[in-house]
Amino acid sequence: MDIVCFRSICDCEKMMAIETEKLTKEYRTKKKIVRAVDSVDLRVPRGSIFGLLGENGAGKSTLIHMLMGITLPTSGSGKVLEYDIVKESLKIREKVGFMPENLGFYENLSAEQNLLVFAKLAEVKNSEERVKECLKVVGLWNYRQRKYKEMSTGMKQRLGLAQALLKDPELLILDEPTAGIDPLGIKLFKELLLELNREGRTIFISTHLLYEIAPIFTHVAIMCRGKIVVQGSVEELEKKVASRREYIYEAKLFSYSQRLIKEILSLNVVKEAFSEKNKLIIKCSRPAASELLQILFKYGVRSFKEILPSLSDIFYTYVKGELHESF
Amino acid sequence: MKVFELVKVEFGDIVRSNKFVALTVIFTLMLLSGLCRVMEPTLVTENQFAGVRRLGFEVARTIGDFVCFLVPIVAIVLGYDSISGKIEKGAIKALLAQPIYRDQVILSVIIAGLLALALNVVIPLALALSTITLLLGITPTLGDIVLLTEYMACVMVFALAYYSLSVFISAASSNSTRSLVAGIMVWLVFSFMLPRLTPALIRLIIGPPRYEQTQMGNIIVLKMSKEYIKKYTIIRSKILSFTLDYHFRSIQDQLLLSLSIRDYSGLIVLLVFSAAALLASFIVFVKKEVR
Repeated sequence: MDIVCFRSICDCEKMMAIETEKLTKEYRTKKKIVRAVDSVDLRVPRGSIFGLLGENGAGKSTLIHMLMGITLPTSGSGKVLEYDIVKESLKIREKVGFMPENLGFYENLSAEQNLLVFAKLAEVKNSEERVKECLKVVGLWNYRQRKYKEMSTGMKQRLGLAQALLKDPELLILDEPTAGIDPLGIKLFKELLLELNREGRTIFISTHLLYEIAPIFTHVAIMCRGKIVVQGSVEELEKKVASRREYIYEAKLFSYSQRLIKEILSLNVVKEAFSEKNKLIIKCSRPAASELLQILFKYGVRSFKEILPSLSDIFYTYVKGELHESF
Repeated sequence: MKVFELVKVEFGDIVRSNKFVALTVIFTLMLLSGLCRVMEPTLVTENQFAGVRRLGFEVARTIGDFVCFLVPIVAIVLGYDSISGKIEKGAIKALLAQPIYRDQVILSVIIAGLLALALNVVIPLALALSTITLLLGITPTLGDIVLLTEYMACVMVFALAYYSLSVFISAASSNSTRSLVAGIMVWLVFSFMLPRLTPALIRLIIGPPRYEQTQMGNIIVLKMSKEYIKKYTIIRSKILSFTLDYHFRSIQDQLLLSLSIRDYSGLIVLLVFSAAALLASFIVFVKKEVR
């Protein structure tokens, strides 16, 4: 019995919330055909907080619209919660909570009235109770009577999230959810998303604002000019980037001298060494911690660490690489 | 069920909007101010029967002019952002993210818009006509009420034609400003430009007018040839039949001047046009790429 349970957990972990194969979307303009999404193979594991990163116009929203069945793909296939994105899009829209970019509601209806409409359209059971719950979750209960057109941008975004939560979905797809929200609002938003993820929901977020929400991602995919340049867990990608880039070390010493810097620069692996705000920054072409520490100990080192690549380093490494290759 | 729910919400959203209130107030005030002019005293002394006839004619003419001018504006303003405005504001994406078909969305938008349009047309007409009746101290007969109801129904058909056109433009464009400008352009062409350009166009087609000389006592009178007038009238009707206003005016003239409709062709054209425009809007929206 235990073995069966263990197997089912493993299967569940392997199962993907979103899976696409060579998904492509072309738009015809007057002059040419634009390939907004180009042969995308995306894999979003269940239970993850997945970030789809890319600059404006990278094709993130088009990809999401295809996943939700709002736009039909030109070619390729995809599945969301095991449902086909073309043949079973209605089922997907029943099960998935979606918050589109630049979401709009009925301007002259209140927050509560708007949510009730969407709850009825989504055939949510006990719609009034559920609306109440969702308004409380996103912190809009005290503003439930306020008309949509009188709400601030932050409130509108929170109402959008409440709308996405109405169906109590297993998968949440949020397109640029933090656009226009103030820093405090973003902090609360992140906490809310982490809480929802802890409840077992998969969260798929598209964003071009790396510093705001990216720290909560467990997995990311980087999109550039309609293509997925790289995807995987944040840990894997950090390692990948580390192997492609220079190694940076930061040391704090009791005193800094030109002799020390000269000695460090005499090492073949060191590309650059300079002091910055009481710290010594050393850039190397390969890992060189032991060689550096041998020198630093002689001068009395207080602390020494390697600076690991951040998500923005990962993003810029891959996007810059892609843009460089295409020129 | 979902369509009914959506119609309720869409209709509620429209009638709560400032646009709807402003349109109703402006249309009512314009009609009332126009109708009040008929109470101006006249210097010509008339017997009672002739006076009532003149008053009736004046009321009919004023209503006719104001309706022809204002109803298209009301219909265009009500319909121009029905689809494009929703796309711009992101409301369409929110709706399409729900388990609902696109045809249900467009059907609800159209039905709700038509209901609001009916209110937008009937309320001002009913208010203005009842106020003028009270002011003039006229007690309408059952025949009058039937006639006015018939007239309001015809005005609704006229409004429907312009509304359908406006919805079609809104569905075809993704920008509400562009849809409003396009709608107003069509109205300007139909109501002002084409009727004024027609004489010049006819002159280009059949040449300048031909005159016949007739002797009247010692005076020689130049009369336009009857054949030319006949040709002119036929071509004029053919050119103007491309406009919606021409078909409505033909029904309106019958109703307000002859007090009954004998030729329903204008009404049929307006209804067929509306159905075609709404069907086209439906198809365009269902096939539209929402980006």
